[in-house]
Amino acid sequence: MSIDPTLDRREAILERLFAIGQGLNGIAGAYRNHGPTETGILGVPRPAFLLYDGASKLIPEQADSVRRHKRPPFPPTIWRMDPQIVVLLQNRDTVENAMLDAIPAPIGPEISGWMNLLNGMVTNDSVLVDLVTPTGSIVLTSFDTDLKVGRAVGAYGAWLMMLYEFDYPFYPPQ
Amino acid sequence: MIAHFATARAQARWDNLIKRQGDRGALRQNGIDRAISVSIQQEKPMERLGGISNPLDRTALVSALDPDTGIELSPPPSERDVLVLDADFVMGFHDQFGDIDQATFKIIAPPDSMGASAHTLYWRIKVRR
Repeated sequence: MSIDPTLDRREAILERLFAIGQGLNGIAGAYRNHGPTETGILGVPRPAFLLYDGASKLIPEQADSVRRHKRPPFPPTIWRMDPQIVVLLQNRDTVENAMLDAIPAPIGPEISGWMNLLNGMVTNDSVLVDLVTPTGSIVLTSFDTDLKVGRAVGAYGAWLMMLYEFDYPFYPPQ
Repeated sequence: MIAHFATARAQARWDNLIKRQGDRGALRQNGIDRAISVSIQQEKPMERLGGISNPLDRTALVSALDPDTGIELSPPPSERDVLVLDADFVMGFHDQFGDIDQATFKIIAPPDSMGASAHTLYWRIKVRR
């Protein structure tokens, strides 16, 4: 299989992630790199899918070998990007985080449901697998929430953050 | 000599001020509404830095007296209540969401009892949509 060295794989991966978010059942709005949103009805419709691009870095396993390279030009390498995928829930009625518009809607089960749905949609998505190529990889490293002591615990609407790392080939100009 | 402080008269004065500047609202718990007199102010307590949300918080001044009976609110405001207002009364709702009758607010901190003694002259409540 030949690999297209002109394709911007980082952008293509982000566009695919955003397309997946736009198609999620039950999401009221999908946004890429949205700034902090207002809470309540004047903010973005929730549950909101928020994609933050994150950063990219040469993988540590290759950094030393690249520096030891005998020639000055930067070679093709594998880079690791860490986009953040967030699902932001509606703010609950009271500090108990159990009711939404007077209907029972605890945040814990909803967070778990979104985690399972995202895992099913993003992990090993065939388009993403093709984009990272056989030399790259998709790794789900962790998922995080604000449901911890010391965090907001749903004060602005609970959130789930899925943290993936995508290793993809990066081709410098030759 | 201990100076006399007319708590009942001070409560009535605050009640009158809040009614003049505010509106009738309710505190809702378990689907039951308790009527209140309330005046609400908007504030932006946080910068737009590094967070997922930028809350639009408000401070509600609530009379210590029931608007119908004139006696002290019982039970007093609680974090487990939801503040309910006429949507026309809340800035931004009337223009953008004219079909909504009621605006509900989450109470985000324990209500503050305002007054120099054990008697509450009025309540200050932090709320968020």
